[in-house]
Amino acid sequence: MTGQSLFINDVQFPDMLYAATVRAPKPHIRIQSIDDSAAKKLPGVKGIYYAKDVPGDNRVPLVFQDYPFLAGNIAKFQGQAVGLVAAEDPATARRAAAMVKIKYKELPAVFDALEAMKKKSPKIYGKDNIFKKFTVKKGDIKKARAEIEVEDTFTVNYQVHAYLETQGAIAVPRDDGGMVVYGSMQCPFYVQDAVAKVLGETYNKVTIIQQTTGGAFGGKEDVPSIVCGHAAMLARLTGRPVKLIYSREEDFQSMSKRHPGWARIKYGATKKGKIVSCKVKYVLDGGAFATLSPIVLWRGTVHASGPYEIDNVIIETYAAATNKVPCGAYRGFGQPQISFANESLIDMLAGKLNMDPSRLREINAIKKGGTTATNQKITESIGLHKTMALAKKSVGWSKKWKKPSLKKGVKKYGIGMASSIYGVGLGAGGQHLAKSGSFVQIEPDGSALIAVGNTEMGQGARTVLSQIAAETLGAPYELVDMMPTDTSRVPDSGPTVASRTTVMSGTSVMNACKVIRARIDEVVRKELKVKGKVLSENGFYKIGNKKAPYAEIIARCWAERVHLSHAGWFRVEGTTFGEKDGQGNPYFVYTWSTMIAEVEVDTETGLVEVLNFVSAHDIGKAVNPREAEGQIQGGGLQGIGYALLENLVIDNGRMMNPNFTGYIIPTIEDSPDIKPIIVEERYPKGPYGAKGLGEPPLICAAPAIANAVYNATGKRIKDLPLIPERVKCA
Amino acid sequence: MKKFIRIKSLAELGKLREKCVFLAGGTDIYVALNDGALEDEVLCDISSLKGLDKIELKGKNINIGALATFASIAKSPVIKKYAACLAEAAATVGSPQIRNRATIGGNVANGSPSGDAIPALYALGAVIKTNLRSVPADKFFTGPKKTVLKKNELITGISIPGKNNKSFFSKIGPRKALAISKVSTAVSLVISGGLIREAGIAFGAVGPTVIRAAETEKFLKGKKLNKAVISRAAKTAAGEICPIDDFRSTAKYRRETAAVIIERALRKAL
Amino acid sequence: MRVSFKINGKKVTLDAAPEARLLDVIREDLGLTGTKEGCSKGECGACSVIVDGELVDSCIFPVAQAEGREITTIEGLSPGGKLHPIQKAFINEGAVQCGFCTPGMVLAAKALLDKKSNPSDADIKEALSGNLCRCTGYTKIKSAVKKASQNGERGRTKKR
Repeated sequence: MTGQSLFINDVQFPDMLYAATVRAPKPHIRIQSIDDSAAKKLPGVKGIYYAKDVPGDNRVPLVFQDYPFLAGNIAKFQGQAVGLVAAEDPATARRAAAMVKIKYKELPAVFDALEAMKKKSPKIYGKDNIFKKFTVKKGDIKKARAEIEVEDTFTVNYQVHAYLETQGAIAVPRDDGGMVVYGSMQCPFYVQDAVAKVLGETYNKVTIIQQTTGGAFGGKEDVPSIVCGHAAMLARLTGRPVKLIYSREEDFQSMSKRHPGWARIKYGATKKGKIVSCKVKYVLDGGAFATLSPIVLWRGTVHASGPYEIDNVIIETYAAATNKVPCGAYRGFGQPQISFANESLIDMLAGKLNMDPSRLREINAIKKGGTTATNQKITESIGLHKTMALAKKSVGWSKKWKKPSLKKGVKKYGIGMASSIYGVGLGAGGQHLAKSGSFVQIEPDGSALIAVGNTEMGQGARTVLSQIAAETLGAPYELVDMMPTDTSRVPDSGPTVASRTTVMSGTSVMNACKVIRARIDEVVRKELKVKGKVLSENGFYKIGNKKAPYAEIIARCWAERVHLSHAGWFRVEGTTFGEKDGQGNPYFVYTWSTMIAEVEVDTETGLVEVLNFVSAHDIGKAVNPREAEGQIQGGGLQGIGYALLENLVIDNGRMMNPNFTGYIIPTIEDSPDIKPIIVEERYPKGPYGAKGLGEPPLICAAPAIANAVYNATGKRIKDLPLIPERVKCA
Repeated sequence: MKKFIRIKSLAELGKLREKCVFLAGGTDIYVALNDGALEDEVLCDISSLKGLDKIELKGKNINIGALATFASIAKSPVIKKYAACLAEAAATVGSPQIRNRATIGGNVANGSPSGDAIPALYALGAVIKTNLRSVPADKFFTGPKKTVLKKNELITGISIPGKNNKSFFSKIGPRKALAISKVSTAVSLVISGGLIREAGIAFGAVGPTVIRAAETEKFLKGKKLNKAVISRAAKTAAGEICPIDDFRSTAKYRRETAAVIIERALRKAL
Repeated sequence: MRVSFKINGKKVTLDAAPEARLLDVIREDLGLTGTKEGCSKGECGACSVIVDGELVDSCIFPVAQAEGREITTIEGLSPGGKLHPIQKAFINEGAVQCGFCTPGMVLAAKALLDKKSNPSDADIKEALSGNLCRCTGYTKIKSAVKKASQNGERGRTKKR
């Protein structure tokens, strides 16, 4: 804002070296030899290092540990890190990296997930190129009495996070042999794990501090483990601080992406529109290494039949290996892809039933007491119908929706809707991570600091968690602040992902604050000389009509040496997922969403203009409504970009548009005003009733737009993105 | 980059020994430099050449200095009056930041088939002036990023015959700003007595260079502009271009939308 | 090469490689790290600064061409820590999320409002079209610029 915030590239250390990465030149190679003699002679080059130089374990500690920090003999995608250069300035480091000559033999490669799963394809992972497979089976699909069926195949392309700040880290050797790493990241504890492994060091010698992070959206979940691991390795090997900042191109080429996907879905329904069966086959293209694909796939699997009550469901899902950049976490985590498929098909079913598609959704939407595809009974906090009703009312759906056949002219108006169910937090797929630590301390002057294991990355965690602390402590909000996240301050709190921060860190902070507040309340009673419940309001504590200022009470507490700090803890229990049939309670609570898009399609050019976009979410409680709106608008526009513009092209393993010139994200000129609608169906176990919000605003944006384009033109596009080349030719 | 020099007068051009890459606003050159290209080149900064940023009406001609920026071209009253399609094209180049720096001389010298100013220059019958000679715009480009410019020959300006014309520019890009054209077109018509006396039509991003639709121009000459003529012209024009498939778009889409945007541009002249 | 210019009201003279980018001189030689690098291609606007009243991308601006000119970076907007009305509006409207695009975005708004104190919605969209933001969806940025212009207008009317 004022230019004072320090992002990682703004930080300097004395005697610092700069790093650059040597990368694989082709998608699948056996490295025969490497000639870096010329590069090493370049003045200012301090050293060039390879897999053999890794001080500790060369495996990045993610789900399967199949991804090496640096490729050994084999590199499996174009752009994979092979070597690291440390030099006195960034330009020299980059030049030296470009001068390293890798002699290689090209190996047979596979670039398509469905191809990869075929018997004859070259094998790059295990015997079948399948990283992971899941099945969900509810009821018996064969016994479902469907009167009408729809079935179709859908595909989606990559999405690139396009955070404005590229990846970066600085590693600084400690004088006791340990390492401090500062970086742009979401998950400092993943990084701590990675740095400890790559250095062969114990965790207590490794401190990770999150630097102000310039956008993440999932893109700084797992891959900073690699970037920080590289910086730490170079710092260890050179004995000097090392800064590693990615160029935009290498960030595109080597960092994680939203998975491309393929899905075939079939819905069966009665003539009255009750959906009785759903069959899904869903395949994600994981890229060259498993990274987070197994758990991205799991989230997609659990939600694959949509937010509907369906008695007979079978879902089969696969994540397959290909010789392309590894895909990982991106806002929505496996859900936007399958949401595009199932919400498009719901519209097609409505068409076949000759029914308003919003009506079909209302008939089948999960209600209180209903069950999900995993047979989880939803007993509380279910605002799906409300999101539908409010979104429809906001746009005037009932007056505007007409059948496509009634549209005329070159420029055609269309309106479309989509809904989603979203399990908050990591769920059964990540139960071992479902914990959260915090530390809260009130200082003698009344200011309070909170430390948590989750990170601020622009999504508003700092504001929301400070609000929760202020509210619970009875402290004025201005006096509360959240510290930069530092692994030495709080215990491993899991990752900052899956819209879990408000519930997890929020509850942990609230728990810590409650303990401190009880001690403060004792002092308040003593000071006011009355018994009873202590309330707080506008900087005062009060009992009945007697009150005392916050500052005075805190001073009193310190004078009496009351303990005004506490370490909070929160963990989630009881999420389940059956290994064989996928039945159980995968998440503790769900966020429910409905989006409606109004578009104008120029049928001659295929250009789609989004005229209006309404996005309604049941989030339990908006702790800070303005921040919540910001999440809805920002996620919504990423969804609109995903739907219409963003088209990463990889041709035989080579990325054709690894930059903002070729990969098109929306500018302000391409952006409609996005209208947020917040529904608050309290979640009693969440902090002040809150659930989670970060991811849902993106999930069903693309199908809402695709449905609107269909409504305008009468032509169904089954492949994302809806670039004009497809809209015009469809 | 090997060396950075700066010239302050055109007279210094003749004294240059080494082959130079000329630098004006830097919006193309610095992108290349940041990419690690141009390592063996000598950069010659021409931004302090005096008087080369002027836009003026001289006699019957509009003279635009090579250093005129797209921002200044887009808002120039003279250009808006006599070369509206160029003003419209200038206003769609890149972003405000780019338009404040990018020069018309640089856009022409870069010679990209998707350079937005170039179709307008073709349609308006512009002449590219260098320190050595004058070359009609449609004879200036020889291939993608290739021009007739010889070693250290510098574009000094553009001259456009001032006519009582109607002219329009239209482009289709992947988004509304910061967009490289998938297809663009510029049209200039001189109409008097209800008949088209002169027609200039060109397309960008649908061939190795910007393409002049000579057949279509010939077809339109002497005709009365009406819906049937326009639709026939659009069809003819679509046959005169040779677009390709690349990661930005497809040949099919480019060909079909070229016909759409030329038809719409011509309709504006009705 | 020796180059002199005025930056945030202060005259500076320094030695730089003639082909150096203005961005690097601002960030490294002058230590003003509020100007960010997002793409190195003039495609994202994170490095935007104002030169003689015009918004430019400093990542593709040769420092040699800054000679004798007047430059404003984000640090020049709030001397002594007092927030500029545009910065206040960005905060009040919730137009900042990760903050990486914000310096460039605020300067784009300033370049607009310095020329047009009461811009239309279309003016705002055009003026900010060279600055990418991936967090906010732009809705709150648009309203912040609108608010800043209204506050600015009121400020001027009051003075009269």
